[in-house]
Amino acid sequence: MTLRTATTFRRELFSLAPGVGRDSRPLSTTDAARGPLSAAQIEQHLGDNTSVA
Amino acid sequence: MTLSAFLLQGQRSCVDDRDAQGVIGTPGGDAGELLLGLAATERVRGRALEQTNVLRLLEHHTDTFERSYMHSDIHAMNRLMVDGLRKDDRVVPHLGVVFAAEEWRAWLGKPPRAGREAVLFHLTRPTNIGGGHLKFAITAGADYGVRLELAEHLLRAFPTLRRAGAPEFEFVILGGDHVGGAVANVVVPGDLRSYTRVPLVSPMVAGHQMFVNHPQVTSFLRREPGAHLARADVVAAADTAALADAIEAPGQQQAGQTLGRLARGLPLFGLTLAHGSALVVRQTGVV
Repeated sequence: MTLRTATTFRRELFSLAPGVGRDSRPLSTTDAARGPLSAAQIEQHLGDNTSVA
Repeated sequence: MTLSAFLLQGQRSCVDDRDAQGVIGTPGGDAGELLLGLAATERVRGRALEQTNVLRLLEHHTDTFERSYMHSDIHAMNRLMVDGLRKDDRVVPHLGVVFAAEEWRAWLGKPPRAGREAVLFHLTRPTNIGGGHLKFAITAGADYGVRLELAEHLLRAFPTLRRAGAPEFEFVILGGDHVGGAVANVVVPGDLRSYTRVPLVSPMVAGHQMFVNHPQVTSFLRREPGAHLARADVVAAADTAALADAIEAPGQQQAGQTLGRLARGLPLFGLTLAHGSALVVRQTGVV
């Protein structure tokens, strides 16, 4: 299995629709606050989470 | 990874604010760009593309560019399964025992032959489409310059090709809701070159979400797939330049339509690559 295939597999396996049948536990939740972001919040958002490929 | 490497091995993700990975964002991701290119192809050749044409063109595209991305979301997938497939008499007899997420994924990956057409039907219903761009292209086709049937051909082609054994057609399911607080246009100063390094930005980080758009990079990346479409015997070689024109301007229009619907009223920021990997953040307007 190539790295690309492995990454795809992981992403798809763990993100397919829950809430149906026995597995009703949300697999992905969002706690994001609503409302417009400021420039300072954007900079904080970027932080270490941006890569220059 | 440079732009040239990204062109041949990367994927364009959607601008969607729910993706937690670093992305190159354009409305609809690869699927949105493919739909844009297919619609442009129809305009240049003056004839509609049939389902068989679209299947062949997607195979042709992905054989060269290695992968294609389409996304949905958990809400749409739940509607598909609960309100669509489980209530369809054409499907229910063939469902067997499917409850858990991985069981559904396996079943949807290779539905029994007798139920396939019904599954494709449900996958093209707007309520079961989790990506805003593709859904809007179907429900407001006139605003996008896209025929309904062409958008449905694309939506049917992805699962059909995956079932045929081509996992390169990635189908990503995003979780959560649209609570993005900004639209970020990522800008690289100067002309883009094959060796230009491009910032990948994660739309969802630690409680913040924003829509991430790379219009400049997307415009660059459109050149090769656009010309590639022209080589697939569906338009004349002499029409390559016309096809490029037929892709770029509608692409900008479609981006405006989708971001206007998903992010109206949100602040618009430019994220400009400065020295090293730093991004300078500056508000440039409101969507």
